[in-house]
Amino acid sequence: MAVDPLQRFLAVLDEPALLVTASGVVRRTNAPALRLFGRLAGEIEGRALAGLTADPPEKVSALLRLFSGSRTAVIGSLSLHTDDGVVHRCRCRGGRLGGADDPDEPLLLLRFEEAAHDRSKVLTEKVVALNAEIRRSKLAQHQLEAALRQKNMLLRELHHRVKNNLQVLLGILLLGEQQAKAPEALAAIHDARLRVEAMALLQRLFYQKEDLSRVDVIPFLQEICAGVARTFHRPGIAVRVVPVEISLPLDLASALGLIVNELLTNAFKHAFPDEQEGEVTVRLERERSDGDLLTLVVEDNGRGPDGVQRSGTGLLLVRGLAQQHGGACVVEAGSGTRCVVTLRDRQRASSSRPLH
Amino acid sequence: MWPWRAGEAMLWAAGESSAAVPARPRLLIVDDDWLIRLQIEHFLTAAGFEIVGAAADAATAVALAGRERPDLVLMDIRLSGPVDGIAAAQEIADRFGIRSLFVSAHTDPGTLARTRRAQPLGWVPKPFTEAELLQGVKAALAAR
Repeated sequence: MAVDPLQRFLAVLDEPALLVTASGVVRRTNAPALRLFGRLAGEIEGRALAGLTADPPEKVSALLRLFSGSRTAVIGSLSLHTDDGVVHRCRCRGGRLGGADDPDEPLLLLRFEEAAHDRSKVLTEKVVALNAEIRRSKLAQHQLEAALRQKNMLLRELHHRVKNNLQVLLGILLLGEQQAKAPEALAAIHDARLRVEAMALLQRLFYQKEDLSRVDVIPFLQEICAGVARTFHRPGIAVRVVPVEISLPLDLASALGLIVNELLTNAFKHAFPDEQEGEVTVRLERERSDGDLLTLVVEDNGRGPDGVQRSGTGLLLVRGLAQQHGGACVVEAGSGTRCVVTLRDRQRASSSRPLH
Repeated sequence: MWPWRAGEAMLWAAGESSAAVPARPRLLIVDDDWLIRLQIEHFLTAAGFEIVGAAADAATAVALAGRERPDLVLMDIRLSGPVDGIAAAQEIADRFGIRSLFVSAHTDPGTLARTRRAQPLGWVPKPFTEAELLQGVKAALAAR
């Protein structure tokens, strides 16, 4: 049997479509419509459209009248009942089918936009909203990156100024030294300049680091000792820093650097008179690997402590810094002079283990 | 390296000349800060170097370099005026074949990379000590 041309016409439509009489009886369906309703053709064809919708019958009739009056598609909407009891609100385009009219009753073509299309509309809206959100996020990210660049630039500028200002400060002290008449004044300004030099070295070493929270302390002490040795130019005096892995917070490392600078300077000045040769050992230890107590020992094999070494300005500085960090300083006779300084690492999160 | 004997590889001393290092090297100092020029001049004069001039800006530095033909220029990066020390060092190198030792607190990688075009003979980071400055100058003169 030849297939009904109307059926063939419906079959090429990929959206759900119905052929309905002007009075609202379903005549033909296509496969997408059957999928939408979740029914077989026999369950729909011959039934009143009003029975397949959740809309009031008079609304359905009014819509059908509207479609009957137009040979081009008119847009309306219907709430369809599907077999699972769910109501889908669908957009419905309808119009009178030209040339296929029944003499008594015209046929109407109704095409539905599936719920999926509505979902895609919702999805589209979501995508639009997400895109807007992404644009806002990108803008915020650009602003943050610009702020970070600005911060880094300011930080570099700050570092530069701190370092430059320290150099200027050294210049001021040098100028003072050049102007000083009394030997005591000259010596005091010279010592102050050496201390500021030690601070300058600390600043430079710290600013070279990426992580400013903790400092691996031994390489840093080695630099401090090398600086003192360069200053005194005494080839006969060897300096040894005992290697150990200890990292310390910046303020404590800084205090430790100044203390070592002071004690080593004392040793170079007083322990080996008359170009005498000798050795100075710098050793830093933790009492326990998990403890907060640090012990610094600076010991030389020189002539032993005298009045200057027990009470000079240098030791005043060492005692003050040790006290500031919860410790103390003792000077005693060892093989020469032995200075023992205790300090507390209040952060205490560091690790300590001997390398050898 | 460690322990080391204090004073190893120390100051350059006048009279201790090699083929590359002249008997009394002549140096030009460029820094916009008077107190820093003072220190550099003081330390280098005390160590036996001859200071042929000091400039605070690029134009003066280039003019002095052309007139005095020093063996080495000690160059800061931030100078008085619109031209920085990198451009000044580059011009002095291009026009007179005299290279610079940068003495600056600008030690970030970006700045270090920019200085390469001036073919510097070395770097002394600020703040420097007397010994560090002398070591830097000595190494730069030997590297010419």
